[in-house]
Amino acid sequence: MDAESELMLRLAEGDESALGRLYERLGSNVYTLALHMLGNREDAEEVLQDSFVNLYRSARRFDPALGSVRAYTYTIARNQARMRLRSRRSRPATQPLEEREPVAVAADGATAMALDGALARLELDELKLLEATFFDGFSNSELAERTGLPLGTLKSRIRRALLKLRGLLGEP
Amino acid sequence: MSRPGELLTDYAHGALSAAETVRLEEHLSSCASCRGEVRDVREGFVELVEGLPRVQIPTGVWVKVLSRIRGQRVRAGRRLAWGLAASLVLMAASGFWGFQALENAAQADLESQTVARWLSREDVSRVSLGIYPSGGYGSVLLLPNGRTLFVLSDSPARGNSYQAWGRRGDEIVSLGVFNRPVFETTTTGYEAIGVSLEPRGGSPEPTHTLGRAELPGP
Repeated sequence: MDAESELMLRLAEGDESALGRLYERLGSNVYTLALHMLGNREDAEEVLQDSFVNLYRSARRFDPALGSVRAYTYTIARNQARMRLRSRRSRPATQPLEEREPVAVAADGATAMALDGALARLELDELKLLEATFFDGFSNSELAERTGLPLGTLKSRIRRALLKLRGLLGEP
Repeated sequence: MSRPGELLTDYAHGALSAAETVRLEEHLSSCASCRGEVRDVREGFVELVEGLPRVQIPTGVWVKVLSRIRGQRVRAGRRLAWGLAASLVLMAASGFWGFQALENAAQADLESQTVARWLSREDVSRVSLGIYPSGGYGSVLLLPNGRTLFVLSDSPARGNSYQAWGRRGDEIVSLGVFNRPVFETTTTGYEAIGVSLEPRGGSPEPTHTLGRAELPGP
């Protein structure tokens, strides 16, 4: 079991110090994600709070067979941010999807450089689709409507883009 | 209902309704292939998030998270901590008298914070008011500028008030009437101070003295 899964196990038993350790490890990524989605520091800070409160309350539901602790945590944060986007009844992406800039990537460290390289090898449409899917708070149905793609096709493209990204990252 | 495979991406995003989530999780418990697909989507998301330009986390958020998960326990714990801190400081500085008064006072958050704030000052001194006939205790905290905090063990009985007094020669002056265990006033120029129990609203002169103390000279 990896260190973060062990922390999650302790958290599920109510160990607040485990939440503190997870906050140290993942807090800035959660904040970065929220800020990227919402574009507002105050809202992002609230999402950061909400996410870790939610993580504490839902730790028992974590299933390592369905993804890592990071994946679980970022998914919670994404949904918290998504709810805020919906409550605003507006989206940061007022531009049509095809005019949006794709995911910006930090060239910081070996992992980020590898990701930078992998993203650079994705098609622009794939990048924009991933951005819209993961960061803009659209449901698949909404995205299908905006892009004009059939829902099944859209889901396949998202999945293909993700698998391609993971494949590229796995290359030596 | 949609086929499970069609819902995996939405599930991975946490975008399904509660009912759909339950149904899909039943399926996932017995389908390694679909679990793998959910895992792929989620781990792909991790790669994207961790590729974003990292932003410095704001300070102070962790304390807010802790406060929220502890809820009432934090507030109760803080009151207890204030009370304990106040009591320990007082015990260390002045002995046992006054401990009970401060501990009880600490149960009221605002009052305990006031007491703790006073006790945190380096220039505070403490004088015991002695033992009441009722068995309670009282203390007075003094600052060099004459500001004075009466700290009693509990609130006055229903229908009564406390009244603080100052003595200057033969003159006894009312320093204020109060209905809580903690009361702040000024005692500059007085040789001694005391506290009495009076009918609600106070009296022109003390009728039932609870405790008194000589003040340090100038």
